[in-house]
Amino acid sequence: MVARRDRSHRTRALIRAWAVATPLAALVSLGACELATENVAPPAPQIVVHAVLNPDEFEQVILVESSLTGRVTIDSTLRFDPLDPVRSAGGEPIAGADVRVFAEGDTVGVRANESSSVSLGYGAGRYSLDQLRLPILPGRRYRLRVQTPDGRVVTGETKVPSAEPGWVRGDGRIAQTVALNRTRDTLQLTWPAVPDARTYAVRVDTPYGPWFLFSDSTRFSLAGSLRNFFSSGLPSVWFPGFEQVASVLAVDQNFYDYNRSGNDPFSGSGLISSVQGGLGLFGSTLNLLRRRVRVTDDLRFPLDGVWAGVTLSGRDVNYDLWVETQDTPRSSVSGLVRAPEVQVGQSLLGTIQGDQVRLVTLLGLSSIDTASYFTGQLVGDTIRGTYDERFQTGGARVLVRVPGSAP
Amino acid sequence: MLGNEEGELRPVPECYTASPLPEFMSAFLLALALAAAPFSQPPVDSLATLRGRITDGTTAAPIIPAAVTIAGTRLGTVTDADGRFVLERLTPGAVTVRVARIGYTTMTRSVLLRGGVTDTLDISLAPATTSLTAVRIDARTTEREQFTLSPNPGLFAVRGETLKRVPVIGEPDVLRVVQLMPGVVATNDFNAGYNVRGGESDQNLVLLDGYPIYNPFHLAGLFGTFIDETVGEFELMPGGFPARYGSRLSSVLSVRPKAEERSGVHGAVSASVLASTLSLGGTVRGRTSWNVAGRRTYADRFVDLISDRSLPYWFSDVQAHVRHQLANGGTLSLTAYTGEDVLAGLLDGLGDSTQAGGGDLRFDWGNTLVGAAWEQPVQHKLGGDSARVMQRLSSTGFGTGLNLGNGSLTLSNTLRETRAWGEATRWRGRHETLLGYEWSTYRVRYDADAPSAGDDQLFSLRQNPSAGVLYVDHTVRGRTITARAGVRAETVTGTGWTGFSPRLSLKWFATEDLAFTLAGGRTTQWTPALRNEQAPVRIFDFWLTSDRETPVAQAWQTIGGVERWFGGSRFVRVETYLKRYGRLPVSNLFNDPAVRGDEFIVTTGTSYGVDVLLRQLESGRLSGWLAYSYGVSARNGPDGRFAPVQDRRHNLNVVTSFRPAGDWSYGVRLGVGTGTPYTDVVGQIVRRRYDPVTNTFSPNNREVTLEPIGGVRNGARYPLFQRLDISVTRTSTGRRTWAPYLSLINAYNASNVFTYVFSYTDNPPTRTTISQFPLIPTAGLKVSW
Repeated sequence: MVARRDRSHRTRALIRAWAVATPLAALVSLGACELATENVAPPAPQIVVHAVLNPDEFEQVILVESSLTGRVTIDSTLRFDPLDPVRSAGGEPIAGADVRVFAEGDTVGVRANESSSVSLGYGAGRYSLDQLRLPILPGRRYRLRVQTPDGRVVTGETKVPSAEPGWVRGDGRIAQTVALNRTRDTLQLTWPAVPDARTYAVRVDTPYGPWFLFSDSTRFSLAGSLRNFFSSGLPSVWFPGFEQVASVLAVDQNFYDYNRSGNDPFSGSGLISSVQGGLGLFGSTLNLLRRRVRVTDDLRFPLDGVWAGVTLSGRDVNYDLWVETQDTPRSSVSGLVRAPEVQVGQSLLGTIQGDQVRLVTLLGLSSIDTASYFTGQLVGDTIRGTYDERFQTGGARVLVRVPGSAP
Repeated sequence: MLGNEEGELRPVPECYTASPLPEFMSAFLLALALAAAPFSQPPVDSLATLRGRITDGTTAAPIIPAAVTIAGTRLGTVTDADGRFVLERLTPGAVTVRVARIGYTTMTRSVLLRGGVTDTLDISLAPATTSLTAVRIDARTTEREQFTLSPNPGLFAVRGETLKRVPVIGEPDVLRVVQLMPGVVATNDFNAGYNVRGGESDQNLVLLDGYPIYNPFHLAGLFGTFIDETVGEFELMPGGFPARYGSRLSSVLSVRPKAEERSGVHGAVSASVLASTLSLGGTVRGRTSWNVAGRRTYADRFVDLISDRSLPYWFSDVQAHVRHQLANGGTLSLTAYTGEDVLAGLLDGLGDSTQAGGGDLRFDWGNTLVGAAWEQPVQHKLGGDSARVMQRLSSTGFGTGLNLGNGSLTLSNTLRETRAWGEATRWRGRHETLLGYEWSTYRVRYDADAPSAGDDQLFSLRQNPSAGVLYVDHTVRGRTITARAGVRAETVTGTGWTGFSPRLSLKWFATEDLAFTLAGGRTTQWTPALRNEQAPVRIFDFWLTSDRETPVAQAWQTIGGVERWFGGSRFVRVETYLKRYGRLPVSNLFNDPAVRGDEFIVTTGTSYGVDVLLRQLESGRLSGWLAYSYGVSARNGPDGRFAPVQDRRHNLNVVTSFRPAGDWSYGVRLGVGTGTPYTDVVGQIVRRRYDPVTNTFSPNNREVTLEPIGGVRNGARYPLFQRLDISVTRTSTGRRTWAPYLSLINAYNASNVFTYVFSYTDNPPTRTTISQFPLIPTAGLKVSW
C-alpha cells in the first residue's frame, strides 16, 4: 500500500543537502585537506537565460548571460543593482543579443530593449519590454528567442497561468496590511485555484532571504514561530518590528521545475532547464495574493519595549525593541526605529550579550544593507552608546525606556 | 568409542567407479532435478554410517563448525549447532577419520566401519597451545574444508583474529577488511561502503548472525558498525551464492558473532584514538554462552583537542549474543544490536550566530536489530539420514531523523523489516537438500514536517509491502564433482511481480588440490536505496521498497574460476565474472516530489572482470593475501552509456601479517588502484531566483549561488590511488593480555585525490584538489582477560 501527501517540493532536496553536508563537515574535521590548486582550460561557454513573465508588471525583464568559464574575472564585491542585475550578481552578461518574445500566432515577435548604458558596461545582459509593446496576459502562451551576436540561439516557451474573471493588471501588486503577533497569531492565506497553474508558490521576504515553498493546496497557514529552514542557522521568518511581505504566486511548469531542481555538486546535473540551446528559465507567474505583515510580539524580556531617544538634530525618535531569540550567551534583537507618532520606520536587527547592546538599522529589509550601527550598554532603563561614524548616523545617544508603553 | 588414538592411513575403497564425465553430467542433472537419486553404489543395507559429537576437551562445549572427513577421500561434513555430525552411506572397512578446527589440534582416528551398522565416534579436541606451530603443519583449515566441500565460488572468510591484524584507522573494522578482498572496490578512503564486482553499494546483503542490517556504517561512512570484539568470523560471497540468499543483487556479507566458550566471565577493554570498547562474555553451566559489547566514540573530544573546529558528533553501539544449548541437542540464540550516530548541538553554535533562530539541532541515524533463532538436529527424519531445522525471527530497522530548531522542521526516514526465516536441511548420503522460506514485512516511512508551515505534513510517504520467498538448494558431493542447484520463488506484494531465480554451482576437482568452478544464476532486489552514487561520501542510504512504479531489480551473473591449493594453508584462486543488469533502478536526480513513481529511473548495465587471490592462511608467521581485480562496468542511463563511479579497472591489495617469535606482530596493507570515474565540471551557472515583489532576479541578501555544470557523465578519471598502511602490535600475555598497537595510515603520505573543486569565477579557471587520508598515525590499547 502506498499513501503519500506532498505539499512541499523542496524538502527532499533539503534532507539530501543535510545528508551530504554532515559527512563533509566531518571529513573536513578528520583530515581531508587541499592538495593543490591548478589552472584548467576554460570550457566552451553556454548561454544562460532567466525570464519570468508576470502580467502584473509593466516591464518584463529577460537576463542573458554566459555560463561562467573563467575567461573573465568576476567581481564578487559588487552590491546587487536591479538595473545591472547580471554583473552585480556575479554573472558574465551577453550584450548585443537579439531578444524577442512572441505572442501566440506571432512570427515576428517583439524585440526587447537593452539598457541604453550598455556601452558603458552598465546594465549589460538585461533586456526588457513593456506591456505597451507586448501585453502579457494571463492564460496566454508566449515564446522566447534569443540570438547572441555570435549566432547562437536559445528558445523557450511558457503559458502564463490563467486568472479569475475580472482580473485587473496591477491589482496583484497591491498588498493588504495585516498585523501579526508572533507569539499568538498565525497568518492564514487562502487563494482561488487558477487554471494553467502548475502549482502555487508561497513566499515570505525576511531579513535573511526569502522563505519559499511550493504548495498544491489553495490555503496555507504560517505560524508566528515559523523558521526559515532554507537559511543558515535556521533563523525566524517573522521579526518583530519588521514589515514583511507574504505573497502567493501561481506558477507555470517551467518556473516550478527550475526552482525545485538544482545541479548536484558532484555530477553537475539535476537542474531542469526550460530553454533549448542553453540553460535557464523562461517561465511565468501570476500574483494571487500579497500581504504586508506588520510583525509584533509580546513583551517577554527586560529589553522588550519602547525606548526613546533624540537625534543629533534634536528630533525625537523611538526604538521598538524585542529580544527576537533568547539564547546563551548572546540573544538576538529585532525592532523598529520610528518617529514617535508613526508606526513605520526603519527595521533593525541586533544582539544583546550581558549588558552590551548592538543595534543595526537597515536600509530596507535585508540584513546586509546597513544604515547605521549602534553599540551601547544597558543600565536599568537606560541604554547609553554611540553610533558608528562610518555610517550615515553618528554620535552618542541615550535611550530611555518609555514607561508603560508597548510597541 | 571406536578407534585408536593415532590411526594409520589405508586405501579406502571407492564408493563408485563412474568416470568423471558421466559423474559430472549426473550430478548436474540430478541437482537440477532436485532429486536425491543415488549414484551407483553398493546396496544400502551393506553401507555404514558414522555419527558422533565433537567437543572442546577443556570445556566440553560443542565445537562449531568442525570439519569431519574421511582421509584420502572427499567425503566429509561439518558439525551442526550441537557439535554433532553424521557421515552416511560409507563403504564398510577401515577408514581414518580426521577432525579439524582452527584453534584446536587436528585429530585423526582409525575406525572400522561395519556394513548396516551405525557406529559412534565422539572426539574431544584439545585447544592448540604451545604445540600449535607443530600441529599447524597438518591442520586443515576451514577454508580448505570449504574448498573441499562447498561449490560456492569466490568465498572469502576471515576470522576475528585476522581482522585485528589489518592496519586501520582507529578501530579494527569488518567493512574496511572487506574492501581489501578481490572483486571489491572502495571508491575512496572516506567511505566504508563497498562495491562488489561492479555492483552498486546498496546491492550488498549484510547479515549479522543471519539477520540483515541495512546501513552498517558510522561516522559518515568512515567506520562499520560491527564491534571487532564481537566478531567470530565473517565471510563475503561476491557472487554465485546459493538460493538461500537473496534480496540483494551483488554480494552477501555474513558476520557471525563470537561465542564465548570459556567458563567464567572474560572480557576485553580497548581504547583507540576515536572510541572505547568494552566486551564481556562467558558461559553459564556449560550450556549457555553469552557475549555483550558496547562502544562509544570520542571523536568529538578528539577534534576539539587537535583543532579549533567543533564536531558535535558521536556514535555508539551495543551488541549482545546469547546462545543456549538445549538438552535435546538443539540451540536457542538471541542476537541484539543497536547503534546510533548523533550530530547534536545548538543551532547558533553551528551556523551564523547572529542570525540563528535558536534551539537545538539533532541529526541521528542508526540500526536496531533483535533476532532469535532456534536450530534443532532432527535425527532420521525428513526421509533422510539426518536432518536439521532452523527458524529465525527478527526485526531489523534503520532510521534517520533530522530535527531542527526543537521541532521547527523534522525530516525522517525509517525502514523496518520484520522477518521470519526458516529452513530444513536433510542429508542423505552425498546429497544435501535444503528447503526454506522467508517472509518479510516492510514498513517504510518518509516524512517531512514543519508544524509552523501549513496544516499538513510537508511530505509523507508510506510503503508497507511484504515479500515471500520459497527456496530449495540441493547439493551433491561426488568424488570429483560437487554440484548445487537451487531456485528461489519470490513475490513482493504491491509490485505485481513474482519471479523465479535459479542458481547453479558446479565444482570439478581435477585433483585433490585443483578445482574448477562454474556458477551462475539470477539475483533480485526489492529494496532500492534512494542515493546519489556520484556523491563521494555515503553517510547512509534512504531506503524504499519496490512498488508498481519502481520495479524489482534483476541481474544475471555467471562466474567461472579455478582454485589451486598448495598444501593446507596456501591457495591461489582466479575467477571471472559477467553480470548483466536487466532492470536496475537508480536514483532520479530530476524527480518531481509531487509525482509518485519518478524517484527512480530504470537502467541496464553490465559488469565483467577477473579476480585473482593468492592467500596464505594464518598458520605460520607470515599470513595474508594478495588480491588483484580487473573489472569493467557500464550502465545505460537516459543520457547514454557511462562508467559508474565504482568502475576501478585495476585494483591491487596486499595484506600481510608477520608474527615472528616473541610478542611483536606487524601488519602491512598496500593498496594500488587506477582512478575511478568522475564527472568533470565544465563551467558554472549563477542560480537566479525571481523576486515577485521587486520584479527582479535579486540574490535577496543571500550570497550569489553558483552551481556546477557537469560535462560528460563520469567521462574523466581520478589519478592512480595508492596507500601503504603499517601497524605494529605488542602482545604481552599473562593473567591479563595487554596489546598496545600503533598504526600509520598512508605511511608515505601519498597524495590521493578525493574530489576536485572547480572555480570558474577566476581567470584563468582553477581546480583545487581535495585529498583523501593524509599520513595519520593512530594508536590504541587492548586489555583482555
